[in-house]
Amino acid sequence: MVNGMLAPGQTLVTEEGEKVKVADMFGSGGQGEVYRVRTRKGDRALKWYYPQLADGRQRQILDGLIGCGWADDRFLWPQTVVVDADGKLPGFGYLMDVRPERFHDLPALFRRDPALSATTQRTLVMAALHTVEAYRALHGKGIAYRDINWGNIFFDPHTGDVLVCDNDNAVFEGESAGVAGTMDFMAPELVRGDRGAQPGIQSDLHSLAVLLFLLLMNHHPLEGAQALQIRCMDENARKKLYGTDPVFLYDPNDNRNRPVPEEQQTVVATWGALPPILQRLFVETFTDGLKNPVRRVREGQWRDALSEVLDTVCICASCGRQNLTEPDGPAPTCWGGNCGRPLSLPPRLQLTIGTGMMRTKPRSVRLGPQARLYAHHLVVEAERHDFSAVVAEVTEHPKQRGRFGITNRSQNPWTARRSDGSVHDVGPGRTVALSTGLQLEFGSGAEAVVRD
Amino acid sequence: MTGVVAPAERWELLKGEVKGAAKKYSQDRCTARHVAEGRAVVLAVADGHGSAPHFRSDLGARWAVEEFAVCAQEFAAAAVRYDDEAEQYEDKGPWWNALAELRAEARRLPQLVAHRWYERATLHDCNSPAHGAHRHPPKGPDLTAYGTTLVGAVLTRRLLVCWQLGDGDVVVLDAAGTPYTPLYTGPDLGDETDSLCAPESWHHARCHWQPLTSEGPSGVLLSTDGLSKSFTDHQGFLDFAAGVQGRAHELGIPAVRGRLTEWLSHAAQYSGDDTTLVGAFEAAGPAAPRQNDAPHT
Repeated sequence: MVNGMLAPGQTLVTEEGEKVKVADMFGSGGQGEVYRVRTRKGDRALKWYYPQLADGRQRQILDGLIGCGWADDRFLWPQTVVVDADGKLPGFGYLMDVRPERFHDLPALFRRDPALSATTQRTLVMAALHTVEAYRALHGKGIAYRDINWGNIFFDPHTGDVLVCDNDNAVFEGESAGVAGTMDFMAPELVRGDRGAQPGIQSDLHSLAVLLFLLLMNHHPLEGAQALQIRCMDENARKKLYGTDPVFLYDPNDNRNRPVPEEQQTVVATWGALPPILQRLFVETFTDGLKNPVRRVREGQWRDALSEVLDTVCICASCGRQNLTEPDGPAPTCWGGNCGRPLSLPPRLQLTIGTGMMRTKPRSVRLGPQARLYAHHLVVEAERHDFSAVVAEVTEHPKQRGRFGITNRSQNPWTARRSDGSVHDVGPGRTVALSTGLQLEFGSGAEAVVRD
Repeated sequence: MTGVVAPAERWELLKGEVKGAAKKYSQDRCTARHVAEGRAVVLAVADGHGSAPHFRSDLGARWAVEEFAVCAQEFAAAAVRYDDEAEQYEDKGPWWNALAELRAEARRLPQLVAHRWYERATLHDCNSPAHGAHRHPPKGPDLTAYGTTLVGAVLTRRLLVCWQLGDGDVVVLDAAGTPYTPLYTGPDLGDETDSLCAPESWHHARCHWQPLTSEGPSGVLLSTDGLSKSFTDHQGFLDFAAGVQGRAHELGIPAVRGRLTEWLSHAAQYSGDDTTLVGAFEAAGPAAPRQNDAPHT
């Protein structure tokens, strides 16, 4: 057994006076040890701080976070402070839910762990989207996370759902607190220790971009040729790499830190397969945004781009591999290592929603087999993407293989207008055959037209 | 609960290696050394794959151990430096605050080792092409000939970190001498293993991170899979590890050093594989040696 600060069987008490019994240790981290504990309401996870990190400031942060009472299923939020009732054991910890087994960490993704074999391009983009929305929700409440890194995010390879852990460093914007993250995720101004630079929402945006790059590219955005030239990755070397002279792998104006293809094949392949709409955002945030924090890509920009890319994931007819494509862009070649054939893009549904000043510009959804529209497609500025709220689905004719239609999975009737001018109602559960020029009205100003 | 355990210089080191019965020479390599002026311990074993496609794996294993030792020594020095700072100002705060950055370094270490290993293997292959002529595949040189696993550890008085790429075993003995295997992933189902010769191999490395917040381990053992494979089950292997420590306490480390090769040879008869073991044990007083004292082989 790993010997930690707490012993199995030890009894502690929550602020509310409820006893919790230590079962076993999950593991150690940068700030404390995490244990499984038995409570009246079932098993919980207890993070117990290392000595001297359990100080008044950390307690104040925890009290503030617990006081929020935030119940968001994307976060393992602190629930209550735990202490030793007898006072023999100094320090404190806090309770949170136990991370469900369906969530896995990023290192498991990088090492292609069999438990993550269900991961696809689509679920990775969904995970990225959920990550962005989770931090957007946090930032929307005026809370800065301040320690975004690859050890704090977990995802479900089947659904792309994410779970953000270690939320105990989050503080309300402007409040001071100790931890500013680890250098490889820190904003350059924090690594350099610029006068007046404080970890907050603006620096979170840099860390978030690093995390997204890791998730989608499986590589750190600043660790190219320059990182490989470093013989001893000491503090000075790390400061240069992440702070005083950070260079993005694909900075269009600075090629000093390009990936070395012989040793860094993955990022070369994944970057090549990334649609330009996302490449542009990474370039923007890791060039201008490195020097000027206000030029960093914001969560809303990431969300919109990721959402559009998700709508245009296409399957290669030759090898069956999912490909990310540029919305409304030309057909790329399949990124499968042994394929490389040009993709044949399915027709797209060009969707416009909202009314008046809130009318949106058209966006495209590729209508491949099993493509779906969700409730968020029909709402301007949806708070989050809910992939269980299906409102429409591309389905194959049960008797005529290769003939597809779009099925109404919502509770409301649609109006369909064919290219010959005929108009039909499409009730819930009914299907209308897909054809170029078909127009659909979903209600509340949401309209779409099928285009090649 | 300050987490102070035996200073590293109080750790006694153990190293033993035997060649597989049917082999011309061993493809295993290892090291066990005190570093950071005796205040930390670095342990490593590497198991060159040995089969025909990996005909230079003894070299690969040697470079794996050497490059790990260099990187681990730097890591250990940084850990000791943070510890010193905390000690100097009689304030443990800096140590605990440094853990987040040390943990990030620990996660980065496999990439550094893999890169350094890659450079050495590539240079060797350039000077002496494994397949007789130079080939320049677009995805880099084929280093299959040098394939090897790597298991390593750093132990200071406040921190234990273990890394593993490919098969092999880490056994930690807690203060009471009870063994546990922090990086064990279940019984091997075949001969396939992760290897330093694979592209971006560092992604496959696993890391055990354990700040020593209570009683620290009484022993840490690293071995190539030749040892664990010689036992019919995992428990037998754990019993052996606990037994080595028992003998160390009973007989003293010098006596165990003298007998280790014999014990490993006995175990290796069953696996037929090269068998290598390194370890660090908390120093204890010696006792008179006995006959027939092999631990559970």
